[in-house]
Amino acid sequence: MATSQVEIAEVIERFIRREFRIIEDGASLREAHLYESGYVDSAGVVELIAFVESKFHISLDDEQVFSDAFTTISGIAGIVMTLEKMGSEVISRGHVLNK
Amino acid sequence: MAFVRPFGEQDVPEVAELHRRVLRANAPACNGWVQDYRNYFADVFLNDAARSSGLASLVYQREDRIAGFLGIMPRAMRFHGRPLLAAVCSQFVVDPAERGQAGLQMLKRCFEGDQDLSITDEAGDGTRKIWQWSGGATALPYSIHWIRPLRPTQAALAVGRERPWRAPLAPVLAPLARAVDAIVTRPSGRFRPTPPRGSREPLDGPALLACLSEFASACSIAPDYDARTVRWVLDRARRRVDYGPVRALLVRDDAQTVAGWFVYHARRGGAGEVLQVAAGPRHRRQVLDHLLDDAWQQGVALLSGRLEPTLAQELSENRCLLYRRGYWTLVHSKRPEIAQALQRGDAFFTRLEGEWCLRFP
Repeated sequence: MATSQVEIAEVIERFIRREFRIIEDGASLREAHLYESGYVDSAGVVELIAFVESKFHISLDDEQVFSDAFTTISGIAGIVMTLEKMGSEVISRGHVLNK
Repeated sequence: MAFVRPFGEQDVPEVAELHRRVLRANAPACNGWVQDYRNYFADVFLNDAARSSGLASLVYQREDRIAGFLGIMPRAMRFHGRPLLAAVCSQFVVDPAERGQAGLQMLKRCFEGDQDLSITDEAGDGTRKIWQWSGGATALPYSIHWIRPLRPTQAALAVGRERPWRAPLAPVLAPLARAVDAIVTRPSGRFRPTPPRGSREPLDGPALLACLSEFASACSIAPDYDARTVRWVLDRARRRVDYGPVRALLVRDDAQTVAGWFVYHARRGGAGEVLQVAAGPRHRRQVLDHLLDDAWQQGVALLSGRLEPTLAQELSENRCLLYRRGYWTLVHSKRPEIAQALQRGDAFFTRLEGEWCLRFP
């Protein structure tokens, strides 16, 4: 599992470049608007959501998917990071309760 | 800031421009195209039925610019005899610069509406993906089409005519195709339809309404037309002159009992699009025989339609090839039993009830 926001962003960028056939030209995609730049269309968003959810074992709700953050790779990585943190807090709270 | 809101008359020029730019980029320039759109939207998405149903088509607006449109046409139906309001979704278009979240947001908003069922039957792969992500499902039985060549050589030409580079060859090859077909479609040949028993007669709106009331209720989901809606649907189909004249015929058996009926576009020398075919359990083969015979008499080269699940066996036995044409029928309902009825093919939902009549002329 990716541990930092940068690593998460790298994983997402690799996926986007591969699935949406974006040529590696040295320029970073991290802050590019994925939709306005034409990299990802409506059907592509669904693939991106499915990838992020399965890769990082999280569940995205509508509010997150329709947020401004979900328009850039960095923003998506930030959402994943937050959800992963919340998930691990829930798990550790569960451990305490179970004890 | 972007948001989804109901479509209104004041939006027509902007939506027309968007629709033309995205979906009809190759449409020839002509005067009055905005007026054509005005007439179209007034007739289909802003008519009295749409206004009184409480369902509205949607637009996606960013700042002061419309960047998406989803047409919604209310259709009164019945589920196990009880009223059901269906929203037939069509003309889903998003500005290329807004692709991404816009389509998802519009569909989500649509599914939150007051309708019992949302349905679309000419969806592409992209729409299918976002429809399913938004909570909808694919109704496979209504996503299968059939094709039956009647004059195989002319049928091959008709299919080729749709490809631009082959179009100039069609007039040259047409006489040859007719000659070959005269040989391969001799009586008793495999392409020649079986002479049907019984008789057929013209089917008008009131007769179609009576037939639907009697036959369609055998399915869990059935249309609930009134005289005005039937007239409207047939009128919309008749405007599609590019597909040939509409033939609506009632079939009777030898005892003069109503066996079934069919509605289709009869394009001489081309593809005949079947919009609706229905038959009682004992008369399925007979009604299909009449459909094929009528198309043959009209000079149609091939017939094509969407699978009616109850007719699957008879279509297959009548040398109809079942295939997926590229369109998906997609459904969504807050009540799972409604979507499931469509998924198992237990609905009277033909192209006449779907998007065919909502297409831009």
